[in-house]
Amino acid sequence: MTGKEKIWILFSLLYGIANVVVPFTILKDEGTLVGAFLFWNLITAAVLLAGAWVTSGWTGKGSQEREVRR
Amino acid sequence: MSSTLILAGIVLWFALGSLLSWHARKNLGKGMIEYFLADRKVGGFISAMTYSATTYSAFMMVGIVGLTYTSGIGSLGFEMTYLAATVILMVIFAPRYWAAGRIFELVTPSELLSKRYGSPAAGAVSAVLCLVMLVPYASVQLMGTGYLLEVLSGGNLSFTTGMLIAAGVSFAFSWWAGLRSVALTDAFQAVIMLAASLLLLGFIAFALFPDGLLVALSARRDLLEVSWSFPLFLGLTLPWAFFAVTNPQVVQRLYIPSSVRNLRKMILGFSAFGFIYTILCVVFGLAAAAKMPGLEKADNAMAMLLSSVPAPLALVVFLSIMAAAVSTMNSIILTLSSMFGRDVVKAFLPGIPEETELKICRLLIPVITIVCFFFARMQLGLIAVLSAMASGGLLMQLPATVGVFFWKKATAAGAVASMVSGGLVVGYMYVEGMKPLGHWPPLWGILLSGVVFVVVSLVTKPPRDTDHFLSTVEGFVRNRFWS
Repeated sequence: MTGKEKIWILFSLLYGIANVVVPFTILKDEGTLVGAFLFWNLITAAVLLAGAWVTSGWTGKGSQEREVRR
Repeated sequence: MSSTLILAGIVLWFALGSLLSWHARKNLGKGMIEYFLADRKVGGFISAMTYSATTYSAFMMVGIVGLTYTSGIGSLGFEMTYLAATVILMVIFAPRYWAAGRIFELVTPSELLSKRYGSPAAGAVSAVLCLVMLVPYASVQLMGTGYLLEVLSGGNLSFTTGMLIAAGVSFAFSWWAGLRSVALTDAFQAVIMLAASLLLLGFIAFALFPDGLLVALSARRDLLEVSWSFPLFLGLTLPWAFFAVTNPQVVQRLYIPSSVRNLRKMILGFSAFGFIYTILCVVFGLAAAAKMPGLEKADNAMAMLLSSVPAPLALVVFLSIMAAAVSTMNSIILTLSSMFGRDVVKAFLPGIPEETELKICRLLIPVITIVCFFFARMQLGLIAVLSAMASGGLLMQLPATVGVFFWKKATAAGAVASMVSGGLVVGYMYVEGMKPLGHWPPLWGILLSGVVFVVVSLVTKPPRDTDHFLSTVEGFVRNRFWS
């Protein structure tokens, strides 16, 4: 596993904790659109954008991909 | 809505899908990899759309809408957690599946277990687990279509007619040209799903709620509060969070993109599709609750919402739900047929030629379709239990799957024991309705499965070429993805 992947996993763990703790405690009784509704949209968008950023180096090397085929 | 209008819409939709299938068939070559993986040459957009359409079934526009209708935005948390978890897992696992698929010429997800653990039994057990769990899940897609058609046509088109149409279309799209056909028609269906949902949102926002949808939603504080208990959230979310690595119909799609760049496009495309589609489905549930509270059956919320919109729009949305059901169903049929042939039949008859293997797999496509159809007509209570069990049961492959890439000491015996013990315990707990300490069966199942996997692996011997497998895959992933 590469260093970038380890950082990704750490980020994911932080996401996992915040994704549950914040809506089920601080925002639990916030009955407006700027409560858990907005939070879950924003935190998911953050993960998706982070995913786009972390994979930005996935450009590949087409000709070499075939060389390792058996 | 008139039966004639509904049938005309279905015929048009099927005709367009058939044209795509016919086009796909022109490029169909020979062999298992060609038929089930489109020769690993699928572009980024089609990969993203087939992944999205396979993942998001009729459950979204019927089940999630109904769940939101009754219990508010807890369902948004559940679905968004699934989406984020899928992207998180894809960043880690997609390169490894993609690499292993190419290096070892794998066709099915279970075949990866056989290869890594040096044991056809590991792949066969995984394939049987998937067969047992996914047939009920696929059957529910047929049932959803049947119910919706019956309600929308006012009973003029029967439940069985709806199921027959969905089963027939699923069979046709998967049989004609394998994944080439399924991927193209999935992309077509994904576009219909998104376009129809956006049209419906436009109508709801501007016509159904003249004072504004946000104003109407703001008035329902109860729906915007988190009313779910934590055990319910965990019980539903845990199996779905790992869907990306435990459900074979989506895992198999990680083998198909033609390049690293297209694999990334698949992840990004799925992210965008999933985010928009999830918000739309939850908003529909909230809108239905605000507009027509007090429905006896929450799963009818979408059907009731459609009864409030003009017939042409209702037809397009109905077709999009049918498209969601069919695109999930045909992918499951295709994947299960490949697994049965490659991981079960070939485990017993390792010497059979590829041509014969493909014939057996193709023969299984109508067989699995028929099994799903008759399963859907069985006792409804049993199916509800089994389909709820499906994602929980498939979760029991997680320890063995993680071990494939990340644990040198993992063994075939550990993999088999963890899948069998976890699958049996989850199945038993669901059938008996057990929830020890208030937590759902998948939590207990995965704890047991994980412990059994570690303990049995530690007391047995890993295959001799473990180091070679891991270093080959890791080297490939480092060079092509992270360098």
